[in-house]
Amino acid sequence: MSLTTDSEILSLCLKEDTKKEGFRLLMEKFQEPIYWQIRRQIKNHDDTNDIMQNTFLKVYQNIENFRNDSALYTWVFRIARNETLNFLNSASSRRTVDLDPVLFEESAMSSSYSIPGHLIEQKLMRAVELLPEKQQVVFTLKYFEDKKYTEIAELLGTSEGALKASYHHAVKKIKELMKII
Amino acid sequence: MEEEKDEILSNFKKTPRPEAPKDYFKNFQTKMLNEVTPEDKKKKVSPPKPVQPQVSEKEENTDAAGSEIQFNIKYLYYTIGVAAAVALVFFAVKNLDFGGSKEAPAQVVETPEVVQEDTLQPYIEYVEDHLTDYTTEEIIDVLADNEDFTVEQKVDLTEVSSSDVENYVLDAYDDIEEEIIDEL
Repeated sequence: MSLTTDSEILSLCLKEDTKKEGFRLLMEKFQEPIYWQIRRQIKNHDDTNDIMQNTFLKVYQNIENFRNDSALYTWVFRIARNETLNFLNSASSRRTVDLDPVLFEESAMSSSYSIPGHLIEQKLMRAVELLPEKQQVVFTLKYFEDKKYTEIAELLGTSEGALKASYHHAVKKIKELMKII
Repeated sequence: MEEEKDEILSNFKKTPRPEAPKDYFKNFQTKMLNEVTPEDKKKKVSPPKPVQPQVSEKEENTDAAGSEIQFNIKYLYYTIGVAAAVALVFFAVKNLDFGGSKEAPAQVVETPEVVQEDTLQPYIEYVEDHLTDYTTEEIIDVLADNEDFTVEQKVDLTEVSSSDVENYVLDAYDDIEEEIIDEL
């Protein structure tokens, strides 16, 4: 994990002559969790790669507009989420999105519950989408990515206590939401 | 917290994570850096200087007419602006209470956040001493939203264990957020 802070990355990105270096550091720090965030919803690597490109291109083009009212990762996460939703909403994507065959098989095979595994996963994904943004980010990183609080704290520039609280509430809320979705 | 995670985990099987292609992240980074570079160069290329067109007499007349229209539009905007300003001043003066009414709105307005923050100070200090992970803002948010805790119960936090306080802080968060769940 890179030790470069958000403010260091930002200050590099905001100067014309160091923008590219700042962008490189930003990608180094965020690209992997963002990739898995997208991939979890899209399943297919090629489409995920397209969304990654759009996401980071937008990050590069709009970094000057980042208002510092959230962690830099949260901002990138938001762009990635919007790009993913755009992809899922587009008519063409609806025709072409396929579940990764390997995943689909594994998911179907693993469903020893009354509801198939992939349906429960869909419910969980919908519940996660209903969380407030910060909880969404924390839950995604902690639950799906199995990241440690120290790593998330570094990524988001926040205290571990706050992360624990956010995760605690995200879990509680998801449990509630899973009952009604 | 871990127990809750386990509980959710036991409710469904997590889909195993697929593999990303080998060296994908390294290649992606290189590709993106190459992709953004031409854009930079494009930006840096200075645009050709605009050539001053030869203006004919007829075009000059058109320009003159155009500038007259522009002047009229500016005048119209100016008039509207002045009228709006006069109207604002009129309404502001009308709403002023020169008599010094007993129920002046300024006196009714409270500053609950400041007052509550003062009331909360000993609690905040205690929680910060025992729960160093929490930031002051978060603690204020949680405690300030719970009047029972700060105003009515007057809990002596010095006699409460830090884990109880942590649970209390987390539960207080829950109370606030339950409303959001209800809305959902």
